[in-house]
Amino acid sequence: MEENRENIRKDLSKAEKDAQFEKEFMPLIDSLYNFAYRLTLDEDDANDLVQETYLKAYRFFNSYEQGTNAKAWLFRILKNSFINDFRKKSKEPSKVDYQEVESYYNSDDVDESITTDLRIESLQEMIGDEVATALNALAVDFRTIIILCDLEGFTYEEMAKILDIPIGTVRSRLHRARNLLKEKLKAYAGTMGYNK
Amino acid sequence: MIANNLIRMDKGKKISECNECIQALHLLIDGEASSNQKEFLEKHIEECMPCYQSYNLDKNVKEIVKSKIEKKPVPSALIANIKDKLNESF
Repeated sequence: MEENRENIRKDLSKAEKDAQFEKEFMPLIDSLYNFAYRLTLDEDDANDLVQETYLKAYRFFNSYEQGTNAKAWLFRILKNSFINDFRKKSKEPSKVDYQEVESYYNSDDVDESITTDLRIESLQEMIGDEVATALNALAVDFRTIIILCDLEGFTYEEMAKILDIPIGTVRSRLHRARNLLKEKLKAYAGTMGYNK
Repeated sequence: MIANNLIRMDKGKKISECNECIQALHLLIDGEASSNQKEFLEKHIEECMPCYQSYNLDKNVKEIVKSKIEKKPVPSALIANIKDKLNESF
């Protein structure tokens, strides 16, 4: 059975392969571009990263199983390209060793109550750019998990696959990321006079 | 494990129950809680004001991230560039 499917796949003409590639992957370009932009925070870099992702996806198209989660597969390729090629090239000044960050924030002595005085009304008064600025101020790994979960709506299991981390780490990283985001939002609300 | 907490609502257990709730609230917000977890969390936030406020704040933060951050439009040349590159390379 498996073998048959392999054979069928190999027998696809270039035109058929191109048609399937276009049908399954091109409609996802909007999400991919936005993910790339939120990772790199630069339009040209986002462009390059998305191009690279599609080229890799085409090259590895034979290992993609049709009808499975195309979006998670492409996001995983994009995330790996970003880490392996991109982050090395661009000398990101705020590059953070996230193991270190994670173990720091995973310690239980982070005060949960720090952010409880952030008011919902303050949040609702904020404009998109202000929320984006707070998100962008997070270290890239914390930013990434919030983008995947809250902007793109991936499940914990999908995020675990995209990020190559266990589900427990998805949970703890998300928890820390949200606490950090609330601190940023609260600081922002404070300077803008929203939180009074 | 969490379901066991349903039957211990006495004051002495309150703090550990709140800790458990705070650690697991994201499951409820993200739709990832099992039915036992969901039952425990929903009952707890109904009875515990501070935990309810945490839940409500986190839920709002999630909604605000989703609704307020604007989508960047894909540059019009990007799709054409990708197709050109694919034709060149393969």
